[in-house]
Amino acid sequence: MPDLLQALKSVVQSFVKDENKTPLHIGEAMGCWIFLALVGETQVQTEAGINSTTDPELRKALQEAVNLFKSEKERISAFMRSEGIPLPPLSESKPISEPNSVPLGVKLTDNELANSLKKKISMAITSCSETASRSLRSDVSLMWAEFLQEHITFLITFKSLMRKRGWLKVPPPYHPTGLPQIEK
Amino acid sequence: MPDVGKALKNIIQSFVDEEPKSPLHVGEVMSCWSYLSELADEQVHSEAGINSTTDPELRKAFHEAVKMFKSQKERIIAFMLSEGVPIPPLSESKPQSNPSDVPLGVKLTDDELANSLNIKMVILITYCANAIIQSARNDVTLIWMEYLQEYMTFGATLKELVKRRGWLKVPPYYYAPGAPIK
Repeated sequence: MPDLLQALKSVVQSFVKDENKTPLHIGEAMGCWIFLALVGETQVQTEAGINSTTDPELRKALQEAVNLFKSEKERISAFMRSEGIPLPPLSESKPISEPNSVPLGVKLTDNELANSLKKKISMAITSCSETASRSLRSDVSLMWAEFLQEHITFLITFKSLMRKRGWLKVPPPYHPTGLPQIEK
Repeated sequence: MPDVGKALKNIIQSFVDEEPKSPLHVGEVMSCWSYLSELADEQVHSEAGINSTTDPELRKAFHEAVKMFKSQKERIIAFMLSEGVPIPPLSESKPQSNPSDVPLGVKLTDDELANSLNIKMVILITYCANAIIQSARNDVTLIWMEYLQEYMTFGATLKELVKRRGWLKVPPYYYAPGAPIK
């Protein structure tokens, strides 16, 4: 897949250079603002997740997610500042703490942590694609396409970890009546 | 607003009584299934929220949310079982614990907790609205309308609290150039 994306990127890039930059429209501004607010919250909650588990695989995945969110936060903040959009109030990073001293009334299980991370990524994907579909300026669309691709790539790897560890919740299978029985 | 809702409910009820019930379609089942799994997660997260704060108002809001999630969970489980839909694996309730014992690396601030409750409402309202769109059977639509209405009612109270305490995040205001000054 990376080749296809690269091709797409260069095509769009060529448009970007020629295009006269118009000011952002309110939908684009709203998309940036909401996404930054969302990513900021998500990053902090994921950090709290790292401090809640001792499972090395899950900690690694959560750490990767935090890195992803941080890098996106930086890029979108820089873009928003350059376009004059005010930044939403953001939460500060959590300090490191001992997972074993978390009271059980607050500590989420590994299963719950994994599922909440999956939900966060799904929300980010929805938010990116919604804003991408609303964007008119090619450079803005490109930014959302990039974020979208990053989240999808992360989710694919993370889902296989969840499946391996039995955390993935799978909806009921679809059995159409009269389907011919093919040996698999 | 309650009158319009009631009227609508009556109208649909009349359909429901005469309508021969077809089996649920895959979209309806998918909504129920993923909504239930989402709901159980949100309940557990809210319980963890109660155990993370000492603010009486916020604790009250979380308690109300948990009560609402629990009641909806029971209702949707009963419905799913009656329709033969399997139940997803659900998270268990959290025990009570002391908020001041939570390490600071895990403890969310009141501001973060309030906003996370807000996000939960957004997610669940979206689920309900999507489910209404997809439902073909009127009795199913009715279930989702009921849930949606509960969220709207709860959300209105929550927003008042969040605004009063300065936790609400408001997007940039729209100033049109040349708009008359009020």
